[in-house]
Amino acid sequence: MKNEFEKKKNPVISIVVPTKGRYTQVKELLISIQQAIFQSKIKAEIIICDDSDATDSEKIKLLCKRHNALYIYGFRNVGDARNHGIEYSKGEIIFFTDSDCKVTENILNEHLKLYSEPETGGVLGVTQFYGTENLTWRIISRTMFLDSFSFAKVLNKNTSAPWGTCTNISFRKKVLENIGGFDINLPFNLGGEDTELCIRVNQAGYKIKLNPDAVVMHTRETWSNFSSMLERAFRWGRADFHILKKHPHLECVAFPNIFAIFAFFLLFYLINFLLDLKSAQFIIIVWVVFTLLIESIIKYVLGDRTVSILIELIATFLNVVFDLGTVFESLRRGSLSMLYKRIIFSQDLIVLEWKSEVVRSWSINFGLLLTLFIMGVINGR
Amino acid sequence: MKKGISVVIPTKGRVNILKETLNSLISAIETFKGSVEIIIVDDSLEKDVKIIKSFCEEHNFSYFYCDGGVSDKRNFGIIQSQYSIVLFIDSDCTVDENIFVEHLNCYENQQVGGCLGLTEFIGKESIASDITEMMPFLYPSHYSDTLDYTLWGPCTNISYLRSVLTEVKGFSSFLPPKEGGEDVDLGYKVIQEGYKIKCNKKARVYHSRKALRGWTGLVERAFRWGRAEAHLLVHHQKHSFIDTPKYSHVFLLVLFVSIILSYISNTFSLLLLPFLWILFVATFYSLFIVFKPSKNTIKIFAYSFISIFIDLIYEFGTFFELGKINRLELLTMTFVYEESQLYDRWHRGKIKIWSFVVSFFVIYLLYPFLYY
Repeated sequence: MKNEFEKKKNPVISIVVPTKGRYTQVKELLISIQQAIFQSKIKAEIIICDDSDATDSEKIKLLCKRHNALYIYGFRNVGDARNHGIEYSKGEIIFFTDSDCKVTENILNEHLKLYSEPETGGVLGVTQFYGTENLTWRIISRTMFLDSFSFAKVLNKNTSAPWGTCTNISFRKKVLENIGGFDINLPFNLGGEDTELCIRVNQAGYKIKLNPDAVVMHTRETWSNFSSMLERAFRWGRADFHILKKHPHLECVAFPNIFAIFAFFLLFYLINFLLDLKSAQFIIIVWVVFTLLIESIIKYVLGDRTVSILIELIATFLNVVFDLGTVFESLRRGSLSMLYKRIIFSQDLIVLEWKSEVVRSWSINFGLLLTLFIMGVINGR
Repeated sequence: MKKGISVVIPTKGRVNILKETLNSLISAIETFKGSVEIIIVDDSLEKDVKIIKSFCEEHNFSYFYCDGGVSDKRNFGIIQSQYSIVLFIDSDCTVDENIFVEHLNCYENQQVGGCLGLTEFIGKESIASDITEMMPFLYPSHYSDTLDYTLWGPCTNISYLRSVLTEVKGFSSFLPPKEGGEDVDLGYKVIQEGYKIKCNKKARVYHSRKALRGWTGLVERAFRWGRAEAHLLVHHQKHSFIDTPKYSHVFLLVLFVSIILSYISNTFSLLLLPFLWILFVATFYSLFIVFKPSKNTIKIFAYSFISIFIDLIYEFGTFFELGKINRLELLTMTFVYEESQLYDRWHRGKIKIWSFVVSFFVIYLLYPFLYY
């Protein structure tokens, strides 16, 4: 297969990287890409899609010149940037990574080798993190936001990846053109465009193969600020709603979540009010705190105890913020559906999520039991 | 090993029913062009032994006396068998005349290690028998109706390659003889070795509904198989996954809370709470099941409602047995050895948890009224 590729005049693979600022990181990324190209002995091109401000863009432009990378500028959002990268590319395979990543030496070969099978529409690799671990990072490591980075390691090799982030993923250019590239009209630049693209690739009948040996290194630096993670969690949650709206066949009734039960509490208070019965409003707060606490304690007990219960609690809170984003967006659009529905990408993910689903259902039930107890004690007096 | 079928039937008493079974086997043998032998493994009382033995001699069946549980008898039968396929039938089932050729047909593919036939129930239907047939521990008799392959099957009508049975060392001995579960364990072992168990609904046996023993049989069976699950959990910890809260877990927790509350407030009507809760759970679960109305809605609702209580009895069986062998820490686990079983639990689990949540809120609303 390698020889077949070498005969062609155009580059085999185009490496597309959207960026905004981050000059130092882009510099390191370009060096690592050059290493990878040299190591692979394959004809490749680099396309940097930049959306930085004036000072940074000049610097990055020069960087591109030095590394023989194509520089294109000015996009609406990151999906738009990548689409332009696809448009300008001359390669058969397009590899995406992000500006805060560095590629490993074998990355190109590891991706290319799976394209000999015609059913392969894309390849997803593993994204590993490097750099200092601060408190925020330790919290994030206990949330669900890192799961997709290791799909290629934990999912069954024979399945198609349900989705993957554009830190380490490649596609056949033809496939991307067929399905119309990234959707730039998903509302509000919320993110999730990579997830949504993968759904369409799978839908079109192609497989996104998993390769745990294709590794990209991602710096922890851009994932170490708590308020930006908080903002991201909420935003990604909101994006999830729009992804589901666009792909209703992935919709499925979910296990009850905190918001559904919150709604039940509101209904309970309303009925009590209408029937002129007294009810203690503070119970709902006690219930929320207790349920989150119980969930964190169970996760702590079942986990490898590398972090404290407090950190588990904040991580649980961050997960809830994601769900809050989804529910918020759903209510904003006049729909209650997110209170009891969710996306199911694939059956394989059910297996992966089983444990956290179980933990959540236990904590919900313990929370409701405690509420019963408190109610009983109050009524008893 | 010669190509053919060795039928192994463990027996104990019930001579009249057994005679019907054996007569049906004679017709089946006449229809079958291949080689077949019938192996009776018996530990009846002396007077019955005489009758069974003479019947066997008359029709050229092999008779062996073997003391022990039903698994021991089946293992003994495997050792005595001379043909490549071993078919297990229970002594209270009559066979369809095409049963042998239908089982034989399943083994065309190299990967197939076993074949599950259909166990059809005949005789007067009752609510109890309908629910029994619906339940997961007997439901596999219907798997062959809807599935191409299965993960295990009851020994009323299942065959395996003799070589595979030898490979997995037959039925496991860790399971107590009376409780059951040996068929699940065997299916698990065969699947682990990489074989598949094919379903063939044309390979039939007929089981009398009367033998299900109505309500008593249903309750007794549920408790007994619950106890068997405890042993499967203990022995297969590698394949035990943590499970969503079971009906029994939350029922007992609500009971615990209600005992404390009734003691504090001196109101013993509060002890009704757990029973009210489970009644609501059964109601809401069944309502969610019949979300799409069909002509059988009321029947499906009623059966679903009752089956929750049967599940509760099954779970109490597991609780009881785990307590008995001092392994209560496994109480939150479920035995899952194939991913598809998790999907099933996921889909049913979410309906269950929704019914728990809604029931709690109904209890909250009714709570003040319990004081009157």
